[in-house]
Amino acid sequence: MSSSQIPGGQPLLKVSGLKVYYHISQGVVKAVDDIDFTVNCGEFVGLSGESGCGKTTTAMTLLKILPREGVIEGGQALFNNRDILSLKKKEINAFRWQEISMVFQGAMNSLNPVHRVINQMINAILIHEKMPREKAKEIALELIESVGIERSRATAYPHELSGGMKQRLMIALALVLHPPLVIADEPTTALDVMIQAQILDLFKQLRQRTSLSLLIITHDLSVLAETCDKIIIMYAGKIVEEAPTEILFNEPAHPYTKKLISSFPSILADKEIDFIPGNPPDLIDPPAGCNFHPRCDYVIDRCRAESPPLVDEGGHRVACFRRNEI
Amino acid sequence: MALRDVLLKRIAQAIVTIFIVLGIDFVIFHILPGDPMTFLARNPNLTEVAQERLIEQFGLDKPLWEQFILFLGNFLSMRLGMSFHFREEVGPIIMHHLGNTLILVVPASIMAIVVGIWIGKNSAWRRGKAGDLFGLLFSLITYSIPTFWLGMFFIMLFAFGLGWFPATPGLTTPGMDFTGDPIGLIVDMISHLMLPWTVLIVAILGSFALITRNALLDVLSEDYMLTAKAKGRTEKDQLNKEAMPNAMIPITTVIALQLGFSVAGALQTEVVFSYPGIGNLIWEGVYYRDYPLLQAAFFMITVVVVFANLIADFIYFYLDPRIRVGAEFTIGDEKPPRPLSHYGFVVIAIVALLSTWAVIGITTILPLFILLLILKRKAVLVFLRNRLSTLTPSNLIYAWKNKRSQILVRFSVIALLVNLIALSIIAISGVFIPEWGLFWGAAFFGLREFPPIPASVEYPEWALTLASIAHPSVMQIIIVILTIGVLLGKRKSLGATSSRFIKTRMGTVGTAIVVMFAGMTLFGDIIAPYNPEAFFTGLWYQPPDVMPESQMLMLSVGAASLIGATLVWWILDRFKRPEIPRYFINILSGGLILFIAGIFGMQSLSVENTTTLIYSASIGVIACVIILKGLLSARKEFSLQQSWKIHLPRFLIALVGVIGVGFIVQGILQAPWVVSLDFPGYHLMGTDQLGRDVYSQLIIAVRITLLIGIVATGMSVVIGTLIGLIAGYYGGIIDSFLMRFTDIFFVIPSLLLMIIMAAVLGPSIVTLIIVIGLFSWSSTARIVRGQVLSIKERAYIERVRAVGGSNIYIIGKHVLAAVAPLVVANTILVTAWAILSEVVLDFFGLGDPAMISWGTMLYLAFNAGSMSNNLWWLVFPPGIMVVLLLLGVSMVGYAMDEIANPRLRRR
Repeated sequence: MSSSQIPGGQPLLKVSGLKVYYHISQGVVKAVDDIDFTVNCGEFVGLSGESGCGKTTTAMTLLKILPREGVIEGGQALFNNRDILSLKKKEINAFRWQEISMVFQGAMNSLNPVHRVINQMINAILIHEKMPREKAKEIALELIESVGIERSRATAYPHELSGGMKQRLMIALALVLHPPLVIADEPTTALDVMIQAQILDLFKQLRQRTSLSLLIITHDLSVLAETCDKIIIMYAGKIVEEAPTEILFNEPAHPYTKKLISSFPSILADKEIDFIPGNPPDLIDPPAGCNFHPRCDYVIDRCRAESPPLVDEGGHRVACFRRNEI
Repeated sequence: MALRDVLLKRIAQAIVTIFIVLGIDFVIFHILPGDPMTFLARNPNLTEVAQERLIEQFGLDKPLWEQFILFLGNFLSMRLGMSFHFREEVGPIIMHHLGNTLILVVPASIMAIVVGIWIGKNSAWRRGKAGDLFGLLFSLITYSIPTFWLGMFFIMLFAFGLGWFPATPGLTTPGMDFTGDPIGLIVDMISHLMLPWTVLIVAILGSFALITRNALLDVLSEDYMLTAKAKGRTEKDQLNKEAMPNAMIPITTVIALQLGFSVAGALQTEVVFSYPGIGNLIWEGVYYRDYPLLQAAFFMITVVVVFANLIADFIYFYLDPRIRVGAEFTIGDEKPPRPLSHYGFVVIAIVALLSTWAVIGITTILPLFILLLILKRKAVLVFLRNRLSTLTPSNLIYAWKNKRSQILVRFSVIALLVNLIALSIIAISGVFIPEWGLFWGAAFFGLREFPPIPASVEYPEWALTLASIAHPSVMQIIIVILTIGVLLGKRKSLGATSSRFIKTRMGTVGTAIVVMFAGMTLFGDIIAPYNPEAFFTGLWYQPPDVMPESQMLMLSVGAASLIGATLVWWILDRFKRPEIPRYFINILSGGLILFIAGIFGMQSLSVENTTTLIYSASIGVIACVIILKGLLSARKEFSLQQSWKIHLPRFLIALVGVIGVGFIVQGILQAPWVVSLDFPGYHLMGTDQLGRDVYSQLIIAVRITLLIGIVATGMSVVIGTLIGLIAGYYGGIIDSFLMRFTDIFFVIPSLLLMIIMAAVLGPSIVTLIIVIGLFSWSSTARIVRGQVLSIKERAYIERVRAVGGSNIYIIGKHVLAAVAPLVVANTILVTAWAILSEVVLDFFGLGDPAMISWGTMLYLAFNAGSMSNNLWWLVFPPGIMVVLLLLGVSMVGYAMDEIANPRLRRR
């Protein structure tokens, strides 16, 4: 069960006004459009929303590994009071993995198939820290053990490991340099339920043992409910709601969040599964006003004309004109 | 499967390949016209004794199967027969020359692989940037240059012109004695080898660079590359330590398979440099029609290539830990094979026979085809009824209302069926009544009489009618109409694809070049000032004349305005700019086309050529339609005053550029016409050894090259697609069988096989087409198979199967549709290859002597000693034309690939 109190840490990552647009031949895709959020020290933050709403783009921006078409059009991302987005090319390589590391979507293919797993980890250490190879190896082996894999399997090639093992090794790889912040992009998608449970358990252990901050990106709300302190919901490139986990699940304020939660099936309760009619908007040519208005049940004229601001009321931020009416 | 098993399997495959090569070798030299006995007897070079020894050794008086066994025994024990020309045992001659060839090929290949991989690597890493463009362009150009022409060029420039390297042919300077002077010998050899090495390296480097680029682009899109970047690896490490080890796996296999290509390059290099290697031996073998020599040379080269491949395989397995460590070894995603209907077997039988039809003869397909018709008579009837039912009035009215182009398609499909039925009746009668077959054969391959029956023979009325219905030209017309109908029906999606295509700059440039050559084909008669076949329109070897002043002026004005406009445009481009509107492009390009059509129209009028007048008139009409469309849409957008103002300066600049292009075209086209053509006449590009006008030959030769290129490509793409579809779709045994078969064709140096086949069959256009078509399908088959493998597991295919679609239906309607874009892109690349092969075959003297082609022109120039006599106008123009055409075609192909290929689209 998730803990209800927010750990009182200093803000570790402070993103403000971030805009990332993809310039493709069909036009400009506003993948991330003016978002703000913070991640505190030791905090587990969940980022959720439908496919294509800008979650992964946000994560890739924080590591500056956007594809060539993705352009950061504005905003700031302060990490320990340093702006990531204005780092120079040389600084960036030192910053990556040392400060923020990432567990990728589809970890099955995120390990290089021609290198042994242990070597990939050792390399990651040696890129950033000067130490004898033996010592790096020892660090890597300890980590591999701590994610629940035998030392003897460390010299394997990725294709010799099962999906769950690869995913755990990927997490170990993300932890080799003990970065303050790890981004986990869909860490459990495409894994079967038993392995999902292993991974979630691993996250919980990490939470107890280390001061690590984690940004989990997933569309699976149940994963977030298990692990996170705070959840951010994105829709069409914008944050629509942000709240501590319990508040978000018990009193969702944005119509989109409500729909998202009620469209999630429950194993025990015999509840009606709701769904959201229509598709997410075309990000090249988003609708005027609130991005969600074409699919919203509570739409009023104002929603069609103006874009609602993200208003903070006691740590619960919602971008909806009618948050208190509905 | 453990590593050891895989290696054993590979060795077994190599042995099988060698046996199949032996089989091909045996068959090729047994389809010679006449039996080998009389052939031997006719050869005046051989003594009675030698002939008898040959007859005994190869058992030429025994039945065929015994001959084959004897042949196998002889070849495997390296007794390769007697050379007609040298009147010696072939074995020692070949071994001696093979050593020299290896000295040439091995260092050059290694160097080319290293440099090629380096270029491809940098190109892929900078995809889409200037560096990539440069690397890709360089690779495409070197890939497009016929190796022998590059050799001729280098000899003229560096040996005869600048004198940097010895101009004497061979490996050492003739007449010099190096006994007791090993250092002098080595220095002399290296100075002789430098040029051939360089030529060979440049010639084969391009293909290695392209392979590397493709493989690396695949790897760069993998997830682990993102991990590497996020880990903070430097760019150099990402490329060299993470991407390259992965990319090297496919690169090694493909490079190994391309070794045949290096061999082909080496053959040409040797010929041009008179280098005493196997290539030169083959050249002589072709010249003297020395069949035992060719037979043995082919065998030996293939054995060497197969061994090289085997070595590459070992390297491959070492590189890929998935195999080295002894994991499960699978090729692609191997899924359980499809259940086979009896259809499957019939189709496979046809394919297997199709691919060997040159060996067995075209008529073999017919009985199979008839068998298929009888077996599937019900399905055939249903098929015919379905075609006919679309012609009922209600159906037609519906089609007219909803999709008019469909009507065109339906009628032409029925016409095509009628044509094919008539053709089959004729073909069947040809099988049963041989003299009929001869008439038809003559009719379809060359005699252009219509209807194709000799006047001396009286045939009944119905036969004449049938002949007219079945005539190939009828089929051509129907196919053209059908294509127009299909294209009209798909104009929307075609418009979208073409606008994406135009956006790739490479596609635009390539299209422009190809269009230029198409224009030459259509308007050749009025562009060429002389009859290209007319002797003594000028003196012998008359050097090119200077362009008349008026044309020179026009040309320089045109060039100046084009360059000026481009520069200004480029400078304007550096600022942020609005999107170029569609009408803008329409009006300008329409105007240019109209202008050029006008020039051609005037020219046609002045030389009174009706055909070209019609061509230019119809092109003019199309240009007018384009301009009109542009004007209409411009008027719509004209209300936005602003947009006009923004675009006006650029419109004017573009207009200047277009006018410049017009001037250049006119200047060049009219140059030969403004001067007197009376003997000795004006010759823009000089004359050849018979006083024929080079410029006119050059223009007319496009036709033959394009004809052979396109027809041979059509053949090879059909075979390749069919094999790829069936192998990929059915999987299992059929897949492994067909793919091994394909691999064998991949490994055998196809150009060599083509040369030998053409030498045996005798020079003619049909030979060239068949030979090129038959031996260039392997890459298509591989690509199609790969794509089919991924498509057949998609859910929608399962859905069709669940609904009850038959295998044939699924292949035809769904799988084929999904692989079609890839096939189209590949077709264009195969065309380039076919044209290159055609030029090389011509250069080996295997072209049709009655036809003017670039390769034949170069063959004659080479034999006339144009390199030592500095007859550059005989060497440069045809070569440049070949390079330009191939470059245009492969640029179009690459641009298509960029659009069609799913793995490139993903990024």
